[in-house]
Amino acid sequence: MAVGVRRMGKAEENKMGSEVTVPAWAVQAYSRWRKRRMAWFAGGICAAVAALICSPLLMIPGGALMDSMEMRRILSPILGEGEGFAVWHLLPVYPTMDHFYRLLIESPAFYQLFWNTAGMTAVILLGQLAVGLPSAWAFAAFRFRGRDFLFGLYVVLMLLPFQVMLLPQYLVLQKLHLYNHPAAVILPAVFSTFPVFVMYRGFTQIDAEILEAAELDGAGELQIFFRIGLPLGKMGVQAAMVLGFLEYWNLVEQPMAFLEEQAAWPLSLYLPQITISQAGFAFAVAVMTLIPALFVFALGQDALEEGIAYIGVKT
Amino acid sequence: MQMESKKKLWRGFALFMAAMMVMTYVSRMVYVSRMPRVKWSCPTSASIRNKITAEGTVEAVGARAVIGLDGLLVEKVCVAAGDRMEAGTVLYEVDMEDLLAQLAELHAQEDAWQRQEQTKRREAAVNTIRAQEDYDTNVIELDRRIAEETKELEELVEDLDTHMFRIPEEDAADEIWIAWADERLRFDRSIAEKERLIEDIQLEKEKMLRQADRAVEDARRAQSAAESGLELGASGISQVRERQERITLLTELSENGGKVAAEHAGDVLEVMIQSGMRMGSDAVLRYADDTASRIFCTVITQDQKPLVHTGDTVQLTFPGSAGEASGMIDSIVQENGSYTVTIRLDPGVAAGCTEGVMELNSTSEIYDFVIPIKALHNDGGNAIYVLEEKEGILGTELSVRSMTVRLLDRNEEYAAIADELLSGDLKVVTESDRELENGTAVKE
Repeated sequence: MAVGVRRMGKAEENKMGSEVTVPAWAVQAYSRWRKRRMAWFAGGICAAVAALICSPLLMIPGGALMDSMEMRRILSPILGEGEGFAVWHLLPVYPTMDHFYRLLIESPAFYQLFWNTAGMTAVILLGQLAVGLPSAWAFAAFRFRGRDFLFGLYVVLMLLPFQVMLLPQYLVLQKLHLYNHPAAVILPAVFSTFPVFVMYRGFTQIDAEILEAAELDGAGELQIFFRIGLPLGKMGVQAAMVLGFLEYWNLVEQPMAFLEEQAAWPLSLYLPQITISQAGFAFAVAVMTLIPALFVFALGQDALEEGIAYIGVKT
Repeated sequence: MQMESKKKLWRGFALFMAAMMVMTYVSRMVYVSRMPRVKWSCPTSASIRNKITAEGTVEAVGARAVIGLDGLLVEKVCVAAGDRMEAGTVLYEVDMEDLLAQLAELHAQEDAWQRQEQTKRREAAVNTIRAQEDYDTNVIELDRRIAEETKELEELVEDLDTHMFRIPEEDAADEIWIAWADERLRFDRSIAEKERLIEDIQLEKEKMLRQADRAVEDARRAQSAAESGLELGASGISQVRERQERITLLTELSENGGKVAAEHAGDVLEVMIQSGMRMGSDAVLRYADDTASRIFCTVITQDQKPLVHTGDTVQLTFPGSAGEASGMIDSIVQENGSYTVTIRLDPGVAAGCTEGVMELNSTSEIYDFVIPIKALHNDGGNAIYVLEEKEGILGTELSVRSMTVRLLDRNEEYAAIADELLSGDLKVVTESDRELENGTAVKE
């Protein structure tokens, strides 16, 4: 009670010219009200920012169900057929399933690219498990000469953007006669250093005493890896796989650069083939493309959060 | 996340992927079922046989006319243009009442004229007889006078002879001699007068006889003319003959019940009379005689024109007629963007036919690229669809590409085309069960 009086005393004294006694409960209520108001204010700002960020996502389902004529009317300022600004309707006035019908029943090309993407992503992830998992374990569990240099090289390679690697990769793929072949996309991804880095961070969470104890108990290297390393570092592996899936499911630059044969394209190159006059159809494609990613995200959300935490904390 | 919800998510993901797999096949099936199925062939080197068939009409050359019976009233017309008529076919009927009235009037005119002619002949005969009688009377009278004068002359001559025997003596007195000479002179003068008188009478007789003879001759001529009708003159004779002919015609017509029949077989081209109409002396009906020549006329299009030339031999068939005929194209005349072809037919050909079909066969030079005509389509000009393999999202697919070509020649089945990009191994689409567009994916 005295605290409250002291904290508010000067202000009240200055205003009124004499000391006023304020009840403690009133001071507490005022404090709660101020905190709540701040919370509401901050929440409102966050909600507004979130809505702004998520607005493109909110447009997708509405656009996919929107009639072509309505879509054309809305997009007329963008298409140069009208004046003013395009005003989006979150809920279509004339909802229709035409775009989904056309996509799911009349567009075999979509499925071709869908399965291309699924196959490519699966092979890449399996390849990363086969190549990246032992590498990450080696970096995490073993101490050898040049380890730090090698790991630093991995990090540098991870940090290099694709545009820098484009020409070297192209030259190598040409030499290997892999240009315009799915392997041109798969192989560089399989040997990507990013999943190694993520998995490495997962393995480094394992206490060295546990590994030493296992070694003292007579466990072999493979046993230690499979019995201790993998179970304890699985969150890092899962995070690498989820991140990898989300990346390779939406791969654009690599197939665009290395694959001329349309039959080998992934789904991410299907959308650029659709003109703006078929915007509704494009939204339907986007919805269908999003579904597997949402499943994977939901399934690997825990691991993803932990994996991102590894990356953030340890780097 | 709870294990249970993760399992559900895995199950949902698996279900989604399975559904996508099923839909992959469904969409493929739909895609293929909607894909046009095409047939193709490669261009070949061949010539184009052109067969031009055109329907046309048969028209008569120099049509005949049936002349109307002037002044008669048409009761019924029995034929129409385009009808076939045989010899004896009733063309039209005249009003019998009107016909009989006209006939009666003609008969009356004829009778009156006959009576008049008889009177004239009778009068001429009487005049002839009278002239002959006058002639005879004059001859007798003059002969009598001549005889009398001759007798007197003879008596004078006798008196002279008698007197001359009493010639005075040579030594008779001068007075006797003068008296004798006077007497003798008087006799001589009387004889000369008589002789002159007789001569005069002779001359008078000759003159009178000549006049009488002329009168007789005139009378006889008049009689002869009356009997022969020459006094009517050419126009009169013509009128009489016309009347008599008309009487004969109308009589025959009335005997036929007023029905006018065709004299020849042929095709009625035009009928110019109708019931209730009174005919003039013009034609009432035109028809094409079976023995007359005909022409076949047909119209060909601008496209067909380059294949048809004057002098080409064509085959002609006539519906309803078993026979065929060949003919030669006489003329090709441009009319309003099309061409009229005329073929003169031999006499008797296409008798009884009004329509026919012309067929012309010709063989072109050998062209390098000949395709079925159904492979051509219009794409702002003549174009063909070429079958090609196309790399797409669905892999290698067959698709069609429209290719503009130049049309060199064509018939109903094939077309000869030319283009720099043409080759013998091009797969030209000849048939499709659906409408094609440039770039359409197709199946064989």
